[in-house]
Amino acid sequence: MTDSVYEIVAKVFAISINDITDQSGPENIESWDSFNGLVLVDELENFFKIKFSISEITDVKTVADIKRHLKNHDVIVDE
Amino acid sequence: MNFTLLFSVFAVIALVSIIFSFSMSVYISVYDSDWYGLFSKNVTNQLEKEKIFLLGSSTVYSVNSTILNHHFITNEIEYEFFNLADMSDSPKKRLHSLSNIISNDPNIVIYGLDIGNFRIENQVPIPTEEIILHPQNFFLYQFDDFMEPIREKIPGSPKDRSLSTLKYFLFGPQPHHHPFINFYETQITPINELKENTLINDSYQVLDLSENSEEIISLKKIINELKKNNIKLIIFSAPKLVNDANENDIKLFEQTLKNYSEKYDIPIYFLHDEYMDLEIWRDSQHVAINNNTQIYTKDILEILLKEMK
Amino acid sequence: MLFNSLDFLVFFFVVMCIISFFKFRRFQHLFLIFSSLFFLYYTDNYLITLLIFTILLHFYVGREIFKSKNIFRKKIFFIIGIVGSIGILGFFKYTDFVITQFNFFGSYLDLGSEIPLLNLALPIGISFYTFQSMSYIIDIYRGSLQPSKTLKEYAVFVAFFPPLVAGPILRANEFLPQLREKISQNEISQKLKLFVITNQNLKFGITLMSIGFFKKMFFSDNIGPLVNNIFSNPIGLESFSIMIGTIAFGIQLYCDFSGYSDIAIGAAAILGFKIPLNFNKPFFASSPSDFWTRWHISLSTWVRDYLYYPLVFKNRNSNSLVFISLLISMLLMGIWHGASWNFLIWGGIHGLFLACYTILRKNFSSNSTKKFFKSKIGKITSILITQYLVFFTFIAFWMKDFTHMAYAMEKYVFLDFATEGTIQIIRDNELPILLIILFGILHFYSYKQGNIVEKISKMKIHYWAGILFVFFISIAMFYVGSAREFIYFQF
Repeated sequence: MTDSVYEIVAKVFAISINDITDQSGPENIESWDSFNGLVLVDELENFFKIKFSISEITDVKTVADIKRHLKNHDVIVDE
Repeated sequence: MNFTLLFSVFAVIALVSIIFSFSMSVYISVYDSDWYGLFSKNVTNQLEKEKIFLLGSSTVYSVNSTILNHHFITNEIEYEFFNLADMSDSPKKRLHSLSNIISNDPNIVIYGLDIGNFRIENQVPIPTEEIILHPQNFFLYQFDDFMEPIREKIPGSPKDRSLSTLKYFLFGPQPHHHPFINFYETQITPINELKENTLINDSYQVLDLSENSEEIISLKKIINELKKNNIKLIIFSAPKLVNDANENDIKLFEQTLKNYSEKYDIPIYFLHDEYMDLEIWRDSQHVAINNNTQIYTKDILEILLKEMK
Repeated sequence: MLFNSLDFLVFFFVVMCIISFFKFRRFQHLFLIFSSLFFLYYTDNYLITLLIFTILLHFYVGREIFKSKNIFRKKIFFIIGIVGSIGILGFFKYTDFVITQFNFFGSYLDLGSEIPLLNLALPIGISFYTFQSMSYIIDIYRGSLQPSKTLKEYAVFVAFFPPLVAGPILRANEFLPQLREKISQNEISQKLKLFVITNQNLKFGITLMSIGFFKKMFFSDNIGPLVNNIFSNPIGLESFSIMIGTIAFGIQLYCDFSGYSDIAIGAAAILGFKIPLNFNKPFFASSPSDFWTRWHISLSTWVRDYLYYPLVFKNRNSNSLVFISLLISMLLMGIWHGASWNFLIWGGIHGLFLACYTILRKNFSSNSTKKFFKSKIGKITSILITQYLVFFTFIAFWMKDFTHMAYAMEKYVFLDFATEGTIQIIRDNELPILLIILFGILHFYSYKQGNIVEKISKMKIHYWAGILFVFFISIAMFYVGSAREFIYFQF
């Protein structure tokens, strides 16, 4: 499932999937701003058929955080 | 903590301090003075006109030499005026550069004195409530004896000095009539606003006009030296909107100046309370530089014209 | 205490020495609280009680919110906490502003009497520490943060002196774990940790602090006079002069505030705390929203997380609601800077830019436009347009006088192409102009180089000392005189 998270992140921020690691976040992805952040939420919610809460969204600082929250929604994420 | 690291930081600070103090004095040797009047000795000696030097602190900064010199030229008066104001200047500080002033051979020296020059720290213990309410001041007082000598060595604006030196090396000496490197127009602040916002804090400073005061001793030395060299001295009290002293002190200040005037035969003019109702102030201590504040410059001109006769 | 004063340097050096010589954790934490309180007390004397009150209130409220099982009880405590911080902030910062507006309308309606102004002193740092404590209880309320176990720990977080008076605004979930002992890679105990000043941190911190002083004292203070010259009476000036004024002010403000942040982050780094960057080359932002990921990041993310997201979260597909939410968020961010209309206007303009940009992006983002903006020309174009807009807003940030503001904005937008006066201004202000150019070069260099602070602090010690020498000597030689306040102190 890691791959699909990476794919979605790559698509939303228009960057290459090879540039993404678990440590990627707004600090090192230039196009990661509040607008794209919400687009990412939409994409993830649609793909995994879940709903995030606002605290989960504001808590996300890296891709690893996304995976952690997905896990909490019982989405299986590979380590 | 790593001591090599801290040591290198302190070494850098020490090196910077040495270079800094050296270059600040390079300025002095280049310009032959401790002031902001920027001309080299050989240039001023080539000037054919008689020279008038204005001395004083930032309170005389706004006397506009361009206007004065323009008046001299149009009326064919063979004098040239230089404003040598220096930030937070006092007789004691000025004494350091007195020999330079004399060697530049002025005909007239006009000196703006300020009551603030003669105020010193009050040595009485500070009340506890003052310490509690203003801890900052408390610490400042504690370390004042230690800091004062260092502070005296740092010029009012190192920037101006560095730039002047730089200019000298790049473009050579230039006659320069203004006290600071920039002579900006400044805004007039409404007088009511200034009066409201100015707190008079005279509780920790006292006026010392006694014969033992360092400033008075320096002032006397300046007077004597100028006399010895046949340089005419005119003294005036620099204008202020708010004199941060009580009325008795101001009277004492006036009286002292009058006494010196009689004793040494120096003309004296009082401007310190002259403009208190005029809308010409930048802040409570300084007249703004502005087309509408020319009264200050014009009064100085009048004094000079009167004394030249 | 001003950072660019000898007082601060002495204070900081003493704190640093004491912390590194007395290695008892209990002492260290108490000492840090004590020195932080002293730091504020030094300039703000009795207003320090507000900080202490805020700490006690939010510590208690945070704990109660966390403990309450009952949603209603949770809400009550949450509201108490929020009202507490907004109440203090509002009372001290905005009361007179509101009274002035009220009196203005009163005189318009001929009510006859006026409410007297309170003329309260603005407590230093209040805008920063109230926001910090609000984020703490909001996070607890949302369930994404566990409250501090001890008052001591919480007090270090709120009163921590480097960012106390002018930011960056800290987040509890980033800061609190740094106070605690690390057990393993991923586990942190509840026990407070021992502060050790490491070499690496010391070198990094000194580098960052020096850069901060350099920005503030070399650039900001020396560019300032040009700004005052142009902006204090802009009427009658040419378009290009106004533009020079806005460029100078933008750079002055950036150097001033990011310099302050750098000193704060550097000082914290020496003590072993990692505070995220507050500025990230804002003048290379390529869109209004990119700008806000680079300018005053700690405030913009605060507004995003606690204001914008809650407003927009449920309605993110409605154009008009996104538009309005952005506008409201930015208006509030504007007024956060100070109780006056010009900051509100400043925020409003930024809000409009952001809202328009977001709507455009939502509805017209085809692949070809994306491709264009990824190309070099596209990127340069978008940076230039963004910066043109950003610098436009700085006019509102500076000018409190509406006729001045309107005139300057008109001249900035409708160019008159006159040059005579501008050339004179450039001639009269050679130094600030040269510094602006130098700043541009350095800003570009650090943009290209990435993390320049990291690079400098990893240099060999003699090269590193050489760089420090360049910073210190430029500061000393171009020192303007008496210590000047940081612009952001007033907020």
